[in-house]
Amino acid sequence: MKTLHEIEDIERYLLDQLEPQSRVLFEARLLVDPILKIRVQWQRKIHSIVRRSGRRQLKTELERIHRQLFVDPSRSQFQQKILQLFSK
Amino acid sequence: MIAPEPKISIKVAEERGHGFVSLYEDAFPMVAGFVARNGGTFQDAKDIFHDAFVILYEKLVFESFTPEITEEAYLVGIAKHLWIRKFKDDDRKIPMDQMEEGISLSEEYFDDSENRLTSMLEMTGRKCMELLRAFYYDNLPLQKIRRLFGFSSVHSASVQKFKCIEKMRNVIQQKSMNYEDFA
Repeated sequence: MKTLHEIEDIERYLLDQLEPQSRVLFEARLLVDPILKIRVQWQRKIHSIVRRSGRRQLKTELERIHRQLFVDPSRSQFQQKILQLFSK
Repeated sequence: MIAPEPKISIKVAEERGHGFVSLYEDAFPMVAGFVARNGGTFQDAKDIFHDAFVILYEKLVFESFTPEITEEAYLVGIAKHLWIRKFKDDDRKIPMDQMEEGISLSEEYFDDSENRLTSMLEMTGRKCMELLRAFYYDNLPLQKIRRLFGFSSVHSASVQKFKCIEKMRNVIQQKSMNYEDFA
């Protein structure tokens, strides 16, 4: 549980959710605790990786919508309109 | 524990799918028109539109941003910036109004240095990645996350989130010991 609490503290720090006082305390701990400092870096990396993964997921959804709009026969008017733009 | 839950991401996608389709239908022709006028291909239009869509989504979700104009017009504005970036086109050749000029794109979006690590963590910890995306990328309300992932309480959803971070951290730690230039 101790680890999970630390992860929670780091998250609050990264997401800027700490009260000013707690923030000062946390920053003081960072100065003297190199392991905590590395853990903060890793957790920041995780946030950035999750964001990257979220983007991929969103792009997959957009690809699906794109296919849907460009194969569905009931949308042929839409398709024609777009394809005409590129026919010149 | 995460209950056996098939295709969570698709479930979320279905929920927001309707709004996405109608925005796609309304905005894609405008972006495609811009790309076509500047000599781009249908594929260019699609790529630029998808990036613009993701950038808008992130602005709406992370920055609680409310555009003063329609989302469609905003997408066109982002697309112009992406075009200039992609083809190193002189920005004076792309006419922009004041609102469009004010749009800034974060450099972080174009950094793909973490792609391999992302793929690895998606593969080894799919469920954790889905849960963390719901929290950090889609910013879903706790109650909704609880429902979608089948947790008994919001507390257990949060605990699982921190366990997932711990798990990922251990993987990253392991990797960083193998490659010195990692951290």
